[in-house]
Amino acid sequence: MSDREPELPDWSGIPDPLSGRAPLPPPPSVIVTRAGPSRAELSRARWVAALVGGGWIAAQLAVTGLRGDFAQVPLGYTLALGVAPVLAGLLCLFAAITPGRLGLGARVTLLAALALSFPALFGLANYAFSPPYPGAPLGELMHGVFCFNIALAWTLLPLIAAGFALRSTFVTRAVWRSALVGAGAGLIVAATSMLRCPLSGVLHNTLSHGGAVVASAILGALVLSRVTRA
Amino acid sequence: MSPGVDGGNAASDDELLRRADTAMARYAEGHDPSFDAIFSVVAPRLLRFLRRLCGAEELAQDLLQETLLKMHQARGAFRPGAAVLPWSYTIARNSFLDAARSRRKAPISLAPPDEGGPPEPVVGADAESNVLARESARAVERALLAMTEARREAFVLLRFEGMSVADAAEILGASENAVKLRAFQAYEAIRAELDRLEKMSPRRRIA
Repeated sequence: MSDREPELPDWSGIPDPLSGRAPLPPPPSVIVTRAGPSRAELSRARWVAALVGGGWIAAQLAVTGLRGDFAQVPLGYTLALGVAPVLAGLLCLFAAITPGRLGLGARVTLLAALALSFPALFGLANYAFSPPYPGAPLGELMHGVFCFNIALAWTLLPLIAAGFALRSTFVTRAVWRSALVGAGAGLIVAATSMLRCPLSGVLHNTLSHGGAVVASAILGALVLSRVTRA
Repeated sequence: MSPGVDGGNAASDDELLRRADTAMARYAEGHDPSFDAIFSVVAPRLLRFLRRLCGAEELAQDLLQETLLKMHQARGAFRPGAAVLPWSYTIARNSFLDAARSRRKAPISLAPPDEGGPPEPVVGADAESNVLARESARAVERALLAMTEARREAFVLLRFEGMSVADAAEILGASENAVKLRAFQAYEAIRAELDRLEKMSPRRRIA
């Protein structure tokens, strides 16, 4: 609340549309039948969702096992496509739930920048660090479809868990914030895919692993946001 | 009329809002009885805000109920130390936009707007100026309902709810410049409507 800002017109002469009318009746009281979770309960639910999502991804990795040539994978490749996406994913999740100045979430420019740039950076990192694929491009694409499906399936449970934990809690910018949750889950799964998938080709990594990040972000924006919006 | 522009009760208004902020923080921690204190301060403001946005009293009442229910659901997401008013205005705005979208085929901007019950009784000999003031208020409402929702909500928040540009920008999820521009465009549209009314008024025609 503040006095009139200097750059705004002097609109003190504009009458209130409610002036001259009978006062509005007092709002009817509301009986709280089922209040939402308290702060502590919500915090607990977020941790449970994080554990369920993380546990699901770890369990999938445990079942499929590490790629056979993991010991020979260059350090730069591991850092760029295995470690950095996890950090970026965690940053996305943090930015999505951060309350911001008024408790309304981070600024939309920051949310949009993160949601758009991290998947793009993941794609760029693929181009920079992935070795050329030794086989034919078509074969790479066929494997890519398989890998894309696996990566997307791995993100589904974390997204469902996020939906339960964050339902009706994004008072504003729900689409961008939900997209960030999707992108965050997608990036962590993409990093895990690097640990599992022995294919390191640019096309494969970009289309299948990176494609899953984009698909997960879109799922977050279009589907998850319907649940998370308050 | 509006909480932010009435100078007389500014101190007590601030005090009430501070109490509501504290009550909301307690309510977010799970203390259900605190909701009564929030309701008594926030609900009348939300009702006026929604009434100015949608132009129909019955719809504003419905949207208020929806807003309060959403506040219950989202209470755990309320940041301790934050002000409850911008937070609740944002939820009210969401409710309004949802209603506006669902009624896109039969627009929410119904014309003419609600009469809002019987007029306040005219006191003394200044009946003509009272009628003129009432017509001006109607003209403002017509102009508000005719403009885009984005302009309307920016203008209502800044002019009638007494929000700062920074807070309005947070509530609307837009940049401060965008909010200023929308409010200015709304102001121009309202100004044009008031000028038109002034040209048509009998007092001016006689002069």
